Amino acid sequence: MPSWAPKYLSYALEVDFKGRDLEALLEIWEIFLEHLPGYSGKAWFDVDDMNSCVKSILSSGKSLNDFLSPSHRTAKGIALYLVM
Amino acid sequence: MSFYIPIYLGHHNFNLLRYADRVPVIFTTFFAVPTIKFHRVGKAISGVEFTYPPISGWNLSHASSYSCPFLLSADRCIWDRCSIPPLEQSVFGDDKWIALYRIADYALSNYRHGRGLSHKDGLTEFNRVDLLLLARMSVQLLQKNDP
Repeated sequence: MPSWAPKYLSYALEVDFKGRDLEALLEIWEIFLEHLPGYSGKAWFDVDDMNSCVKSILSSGKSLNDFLSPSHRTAKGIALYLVM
Repeated sequence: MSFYIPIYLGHHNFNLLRYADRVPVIFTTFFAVPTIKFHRVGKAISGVEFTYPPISGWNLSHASSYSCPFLLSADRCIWDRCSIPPLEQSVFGDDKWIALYRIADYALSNYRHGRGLSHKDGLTEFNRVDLLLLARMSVQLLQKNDP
């Protein structure tokens, strides 16, 4: 992921998305979180971006709780695991 | 409840603590000092509720599960930097909150693993120190309110 991606994500999180748009945003957010441990210490990853992302979620009026739970993506993962 | 963020914040905690002055929102959101509400029946206190205004629906169990991974893996020398504002104003700025969170986390993990209070290993030295600190504080509080 290039360095501008977390910055762009913080702007996207500020938008008051609803319905399917919000779902898509949550998926992107979860992909971001999944890769977060690997970003640590990378020159292009800026800790300020993490701060901006949380700030954007709060200022947009979206529920922070939605962004804290392993929602549909994990549920999908478990479903795939059970089927395969 | 979710253990998603604690795991990822846990991996990341060294950086977040080191750069605490650059991530104030993380500290004022996830590690905010709780608001305590007392429920009373007449004069007696019948219950205590911990709320976290930044995140609706959060309680002591959520908050302690977020803070304790930080406490477990944080380098001691990082705490010397507690004087920087975001850390000082968070729960990490006060030994009493840390003691309370560690005890809550211990109790919750025993509950989750179905160990109960008679867990064979008993309380660790850390648990004892935390409990003593909290007990001392409670007694002081009672003496102050009811001399």
